[in-house]
Amino acid sequence: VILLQKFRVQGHSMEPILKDRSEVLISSIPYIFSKPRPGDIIAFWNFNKVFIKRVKKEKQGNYLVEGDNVIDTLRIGWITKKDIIGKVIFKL
Amino acid sequence: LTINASGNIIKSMLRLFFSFFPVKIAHAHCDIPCGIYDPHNAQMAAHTVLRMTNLLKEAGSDTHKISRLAKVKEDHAELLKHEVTVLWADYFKDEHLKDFPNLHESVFKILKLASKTKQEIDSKNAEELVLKVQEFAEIFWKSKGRETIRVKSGYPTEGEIVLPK
Repeated sequence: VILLQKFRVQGHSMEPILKDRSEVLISSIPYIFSKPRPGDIIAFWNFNKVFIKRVKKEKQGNYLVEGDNVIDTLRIGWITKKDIIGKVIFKL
Repeated sequence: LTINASGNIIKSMLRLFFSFFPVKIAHAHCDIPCGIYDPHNAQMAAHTVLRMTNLLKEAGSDTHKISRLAKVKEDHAELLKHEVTVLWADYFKDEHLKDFPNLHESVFKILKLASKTKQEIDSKNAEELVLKVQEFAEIFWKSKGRETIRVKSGYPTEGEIVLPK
């Protein structure tokens, strides 16, 4: 469980809401009480790296994630709940 | 966002408070160009390895020719390993394993075979490498919902390449 963790965004795929080098606070607490929902911005593990993207769809415990900036987003596709670190709860 | 700082003062205070927190990196970028993957380079590299292997067997004792052919064989076996590894690591996702349970084994065999073709001058290994990369190319295109076709490559190896229909 991550109470609060500060992350620096690296890249442009979440612009305009999260600019390159902006900082956010992430917590896993919200997902103790409810599951991630489409629209949530989440941090998750993918190939040993932490990524930050928006949940687009949920299907049987799997989550389709995408960047907001469609011209500069890595096609990650579906991830599972265990990959999710937490939800972006605050933009610093 | 669930919570958003409403005023500049509050936001500045929060920034100051959280400036003492350690920061980690969260990636929000892509490998450019985004989503452009193709096993074609790997297939060309496999054919090149086969071609160089065959030419090396005919090279006689001309050390200059042998060294040039060996270098190209080495380079293309390495290129093939890179191309296949990138597709495996960056393109394929966990969910692909449901439809292609042999994916990991396929990649493992290709990488081992590619290393073997570097170590030896053996046409059988090089031919098997071409076949394994073709199978990998078929997995790749099927994962994108594309049917494939094997066509004559037109290369001196007289082998085939896999293309999407």
